[in-house]
Amino acid sequence: MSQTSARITGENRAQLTLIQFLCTVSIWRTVMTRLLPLCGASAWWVGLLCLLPGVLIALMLRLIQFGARCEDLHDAFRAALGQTGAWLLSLALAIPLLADGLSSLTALLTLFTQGIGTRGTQLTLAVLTGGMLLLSLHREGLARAAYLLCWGMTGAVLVLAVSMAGKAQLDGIFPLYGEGEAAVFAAVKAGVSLAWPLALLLTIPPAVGRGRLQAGILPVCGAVAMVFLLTMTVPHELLAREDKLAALLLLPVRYGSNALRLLGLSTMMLALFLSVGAAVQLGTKQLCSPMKHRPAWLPQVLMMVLLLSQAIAPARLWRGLGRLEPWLLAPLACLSAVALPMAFIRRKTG
Amino acid sequence: MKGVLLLLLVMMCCTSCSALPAEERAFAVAIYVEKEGEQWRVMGRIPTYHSEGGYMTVTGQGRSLNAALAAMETSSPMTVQLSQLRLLVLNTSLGRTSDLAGALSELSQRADMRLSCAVAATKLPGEVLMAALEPTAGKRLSKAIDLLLESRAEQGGILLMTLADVVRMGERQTPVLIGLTVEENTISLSGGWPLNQQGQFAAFLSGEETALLSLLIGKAGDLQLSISQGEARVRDISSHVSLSENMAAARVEVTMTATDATMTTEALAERLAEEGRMLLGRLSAAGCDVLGLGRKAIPYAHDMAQWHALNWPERYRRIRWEVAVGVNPPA
Repeated sequence: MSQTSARITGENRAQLTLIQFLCTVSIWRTVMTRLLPLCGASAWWVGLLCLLPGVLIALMLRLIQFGARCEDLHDAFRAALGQTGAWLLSLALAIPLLADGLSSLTALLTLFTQGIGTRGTQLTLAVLTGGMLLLSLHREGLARAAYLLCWGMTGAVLVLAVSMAGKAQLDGIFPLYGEGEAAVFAAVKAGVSLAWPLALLLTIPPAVGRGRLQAGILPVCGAVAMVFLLTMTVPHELLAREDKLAALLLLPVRYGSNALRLLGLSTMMLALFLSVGAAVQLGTKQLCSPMKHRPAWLPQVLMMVLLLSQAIAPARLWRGLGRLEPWLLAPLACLSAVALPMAFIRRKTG
Repeated sequence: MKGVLLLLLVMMCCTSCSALPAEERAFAVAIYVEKEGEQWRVMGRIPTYHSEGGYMTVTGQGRSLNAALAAMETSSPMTVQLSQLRLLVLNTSLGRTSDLAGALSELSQRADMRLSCAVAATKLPGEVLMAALEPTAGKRLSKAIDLLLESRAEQGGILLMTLADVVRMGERQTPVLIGLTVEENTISLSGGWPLNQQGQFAAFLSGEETALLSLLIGKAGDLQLSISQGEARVRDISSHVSLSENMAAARVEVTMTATDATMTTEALAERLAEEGRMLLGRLSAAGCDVLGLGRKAIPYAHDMAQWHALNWPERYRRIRWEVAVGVNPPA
């Protein structure tokens, strides 16, 4: 393997790690902050149920690639729907990415200001965090950082999981329907777009991600397993009582020792921080995919937009994001529904 | 790449520290909470931070627990932090009303609270307790409290209960708070104060009864038991609790090895079964689910509405206990 191809393979592997990482954080954050307050002990299986639409859309996208005989998702949409299709796909992937980045940024800053009690307002901390991200978004640095840090973070998560498993009680998963059917339906509605990041796995070149969708199994299962462990550690009556964002994010570390609390908080902060950067960088990549070049200033502009959004009251912003999140998969679903038959029709006629 | 990692590190260091430097905080080692009429009173034991060491007491009063804690902070030379708290002591008068559960919940919600602190109850006034809270060995009160808790729990004299344990029991189990008294100006931990399902103290359990309860829970590794007609030392304890007959009866199966007993193993098993059944019957009649039978009952409910409709607290009070004890002779 030449030095150039080895470098490209390395870069692609780092990109795959970044997407896997984003999958884990996005799914974990959504289940913890949106599903858990609604359905408590049933959040783990409701979370699994909510993964289905995303998995179905990802399989449809894979079929479109197969129908269009293209391994690149944008090329497949270009073949099926023309250049407009490629642009629409870019938007359908970039908008959820930016919304996810905004959710992670709001969660991170709320954890700082209301959870840990750090000195500073939401906006000053946004400027500080964003400043760091603006610098680290340069070239491929963030993807490499995620690639290197993911092992350490996995280790930290395993330590936390073992400590939670030690306190786990089987009765924690009961009552299975939590607050009842109405609450479960509300949670399903809130989490219907849970698995949208799986579609991003198909944007990676196949040489790296052999069985690209399979690469999403571990991150997805890991995120749901952590929620499952949490429900076994903290009873439903305490889970369903929490409705504040900071309190929900602190739940996994709340009952642990000081050392575990520190480890958990550091891991959580780092994960949310990296996921904001990952969302912006991948969002830029998606937006620029139909174009020949990628403007170097675009990630910085997107980051600035995310930062400025923090001027809105955090509770109001979080409520707004809560209304948007269930619809993240909708554009991709509509687009896939149109592109799938077109890909096979054009395959026959072509 | 190195720059990115450095920036991440700087970011974590710059933004994750708390609002006050360590020198401007007073870390409370123990706090005491009581309520007289409508007035809450909180007392805290904090280090003096003098070069010669020592501890001082800070006090606060208010119309609510939070107001009392805030008043305690104003009487302190520095901002009081509960992140190193070892012992939370509640006056038993709190347990006569519904204030106790609220107080525990309120304290556990504090961002700086160390949830792994032990929770005890006492009948003593706060002044007596605070005066007795001095390190018996060495210079650190926190270490002295840790050692005392550990040794008493090992002996079976108390059931070690942390604030996290109490909170995490939810509606499925009721805690037994550590019994605390002062003997010759030194704190003594013995027995327990079980809470009922309404969050009130039901009765006081002596040290012997607490040891028997440790045996029934199966938590202890090595226990010295004092029962009527004799004494025994047991180890390798294991216990299993099950709910049967449509939640009308419960069975506890305990096995152990007797290393030193003043009676035959058969007689010991019989006595332990009888005394265990009586103790559990008394506790369940008072609404104290110390074995966590609620954990066995909750799977019968599909959702919380059904769980509340089951009216578990009432059913639990009428439950029939069966205790089977197997005692093995030492190998």
